[in-house]
Amino acid sequence: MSEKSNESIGDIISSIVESVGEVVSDVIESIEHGVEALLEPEEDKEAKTVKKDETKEVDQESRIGYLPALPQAEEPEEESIEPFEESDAKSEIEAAIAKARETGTETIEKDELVADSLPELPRNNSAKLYLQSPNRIFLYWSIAGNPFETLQKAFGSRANNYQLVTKLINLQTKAESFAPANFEGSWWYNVRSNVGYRVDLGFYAVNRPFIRLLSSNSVNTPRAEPSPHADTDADWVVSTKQFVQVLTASGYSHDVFGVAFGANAETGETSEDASTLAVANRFAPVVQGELDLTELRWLLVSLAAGVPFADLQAALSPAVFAWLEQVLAANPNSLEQNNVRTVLESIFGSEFVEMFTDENAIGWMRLAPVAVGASAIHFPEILFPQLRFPELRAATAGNPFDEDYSAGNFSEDSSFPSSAEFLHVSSSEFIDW
Amino acid sequence: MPTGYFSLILHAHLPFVRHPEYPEFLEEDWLFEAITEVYLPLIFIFERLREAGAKPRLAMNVSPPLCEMLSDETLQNRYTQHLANLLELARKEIERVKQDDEQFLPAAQMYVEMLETASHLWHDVYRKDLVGAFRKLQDDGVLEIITCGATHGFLPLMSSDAAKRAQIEIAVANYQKHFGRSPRGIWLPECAYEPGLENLLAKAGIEYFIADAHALLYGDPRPRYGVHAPVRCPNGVAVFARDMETSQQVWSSIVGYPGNPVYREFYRDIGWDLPLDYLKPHLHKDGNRRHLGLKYYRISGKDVSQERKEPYLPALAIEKSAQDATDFVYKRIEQARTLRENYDGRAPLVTSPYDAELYGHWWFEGPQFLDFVFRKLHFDQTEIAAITPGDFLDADIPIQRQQPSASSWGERGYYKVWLNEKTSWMYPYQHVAEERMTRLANIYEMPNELEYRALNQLARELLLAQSSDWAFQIYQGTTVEYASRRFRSHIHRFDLLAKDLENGQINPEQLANIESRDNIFAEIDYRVYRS
Repeated sequence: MSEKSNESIGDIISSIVESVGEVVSDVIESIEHGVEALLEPEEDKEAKTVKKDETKEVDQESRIGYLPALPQAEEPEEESIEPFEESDAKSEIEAAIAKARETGTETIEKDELVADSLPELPRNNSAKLYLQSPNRIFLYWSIAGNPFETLQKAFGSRANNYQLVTKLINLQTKAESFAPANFEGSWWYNVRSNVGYRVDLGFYAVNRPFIRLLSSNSVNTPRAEPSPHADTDADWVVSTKQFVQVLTASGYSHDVFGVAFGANAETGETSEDASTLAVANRFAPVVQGELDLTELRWLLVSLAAGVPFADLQAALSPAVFAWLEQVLAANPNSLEQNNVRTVLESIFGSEFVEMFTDENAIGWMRLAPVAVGASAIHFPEILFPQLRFPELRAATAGNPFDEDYSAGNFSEDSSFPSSAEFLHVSSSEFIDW
Repeated sequence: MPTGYFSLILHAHLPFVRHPEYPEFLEEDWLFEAITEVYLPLIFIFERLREAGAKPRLAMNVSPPLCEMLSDETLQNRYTQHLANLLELARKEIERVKQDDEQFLPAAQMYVEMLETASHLWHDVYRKDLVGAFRKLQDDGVLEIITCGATHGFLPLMSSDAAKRAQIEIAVANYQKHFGRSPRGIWLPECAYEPGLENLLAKAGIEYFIADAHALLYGDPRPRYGVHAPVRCPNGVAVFARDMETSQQVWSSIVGYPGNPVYREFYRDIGWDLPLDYLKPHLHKDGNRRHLGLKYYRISGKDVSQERKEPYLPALAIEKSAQDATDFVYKRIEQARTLRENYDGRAPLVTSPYDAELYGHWWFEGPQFLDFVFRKLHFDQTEIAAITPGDFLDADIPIQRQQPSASSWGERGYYKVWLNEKTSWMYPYQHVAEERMTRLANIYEMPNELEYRALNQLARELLLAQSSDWAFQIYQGTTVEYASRRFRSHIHRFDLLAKDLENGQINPEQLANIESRDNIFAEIDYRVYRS
């Protein structure tokens, strides 16, 4: 049997507080701090009731939940809880505590094998990087001791120029992006798919080599679309047009358009970028290398699917926006859905454009993900302009298609160097701690 | 030669929930409800099909935690009491509805019949040994039972190959204990795959695993036949991927069969509808309302509120399930014909994995639907052949080689459900325990008896902490408190035991207490964690 522990009067009070609930907790705190007792406003009680019913409706629709959808313990009937009167609250609690003190011989058993908290994590040199999705990875780290002390011994007051940072490294392009760090913590990074990443932790100072303390493991983000490669074995080779049929039959028609860009009805099998250029040049001249073709491709996909240009405008990079200004100057109607479809049809044929027609509207129905039983089930979202459109940010915040824009996880501290300031520090210039 | 092949794969899993330290425990009801509504009906239906000559053939994962719970005497006894209690209530209900609510009489009578049958099967036919019943179905050629992770741990989020390998090898050993042979296939927990896992599977003797569709569709090179043929990883392990059309037909809350208005409504349960005083003798001692499994209403319509649901009519529902089964088989034939045209005459394979608990618990008429499906497949047509993944591999049909893509069958197709802002806190603790387990396993080459027990119990606590069910429940917001507490408690017990072991001061009483509570995998050997 587990050991039983005698609990102090303070623990008894805590148990009472816990059992009476949040309101009492507020009242206790109020007493302790000499603040007036708080009462739960009636409108808050009503809001909680409404929220519970809404949750139940959602659960019914989506069948979300484990086996079974175990309800919360039934909330007590309202009439069984007497609300505290403002003037009575303090005196009632004081009386309850006084009574508890009188029964101080009573002990409360605690199951020591059931934990309310977790053991302390060791502080050791460790950084671990994990995949969440093709476009998101998670890092957590811990640094032993206080390396700043050594830094100060080495550099004296100049050590104050250094800041502890995490450095996210794109293993393909070698591009780096930084974020301030503490001795232990975690970050979420928005990244590109089909790329390897690693994170180093170390000391950064402007115009100084990076001092690396430790490195994480590497993570390869998976592809978020079909491979561009067909099998070379004659038994398994599949043309792009055949693979479009395969994807449709497999329920992944939202990937068809991206695959279709790899086939050009005019020139035969071509690269995705070449096809994108072929389409874009029908609107306005594009010089390869001037525009990000991924961004351009998805702009065209969205326009063909009927997403209003006004909805896309704010998220475009300056370069693509400038190109669009050329397009609109030549023909203000050129970005209308029908016109974009006409251009696509002239290049890829009607079969690829048919998916955008109203007759295929059912294909655009978004299938809600369903979680049943032990697992949540993934359904492809056929509204692919939403599925495939990358996370674009306002152009003024930096071009998201530049390297590995780690959105939303950086400190807003304006003293932290901007991308431009550290770009000149190449990844080859670093010192191992 | 059939036009096409159909492979139904059922995934039967529940997290290991066993609380002998309490006389009763709410979350143990998960198992009891599943036994009554899912496992007993499925076993019974498959046996009847076999006896009728319908030759059902399907794969089924019975996960290691589920096998262990079904074999546990404490839980068996508690289920016996649960079933008796429910039957008593169902019989009382007949009398009550005859007097007060005659519109519910057909449903009430159905429950009595169902529970009496369940009781007969449980006591007299299977003698409380459902794992043995599953085993017999496999030995008779109906089921191809596959394994799963030892405690359904999410392999890509583990910190070491040793930890991943342990989940796989302990599962295989447990499978051998229960089924008397080695498993051919594995249901990767949450169908979570990352490149390289196939190497660990091959070392454990696994021939194939199940994955979500985009594991193949986004794999490299492009799959010639999409999800309608398996592929082989570079090391030869085969992958069978989910067909979306059959998934949608059964899973979708919008267009799927289970949403039909005549089918039973899940949320109108007498445990919430009837007076508390009347129900009290049949509730847990805490007197809290809960689902009891006796439900008298049908879905009635998509936008019909709970208060306006109509009475459930079993005869209508059975008829509808037969119609849906006919539709399902017809669509398989149409699908196979179309795919075969696209695939240059090659017979397509439609792989349809589902949670087993869908059939019977979430979709009450599910087992009946499956009964009709297999009868129609056998007696009413010849174009579709029901096979298992193992059957496909045995047929020596050529299979393309490919490197599949990282994936899972969770929401959005990757690892978000298990690694997100609500659950990220768990992994540092889990990873520290994984590393510590391997370190201790390497250190203790010749443990004495007490140390050996402690090391094995450490392994159990780690495995139980790794269960992906906890992160899932926290993310979904269903039983957050219980799941969090379970995770914390297993990490806590691991830490207690590890400290005692490291200090050379194992507390035998504490160890025995922990062993008695977390008694999964009696056959476990900690050395599986060695690196």
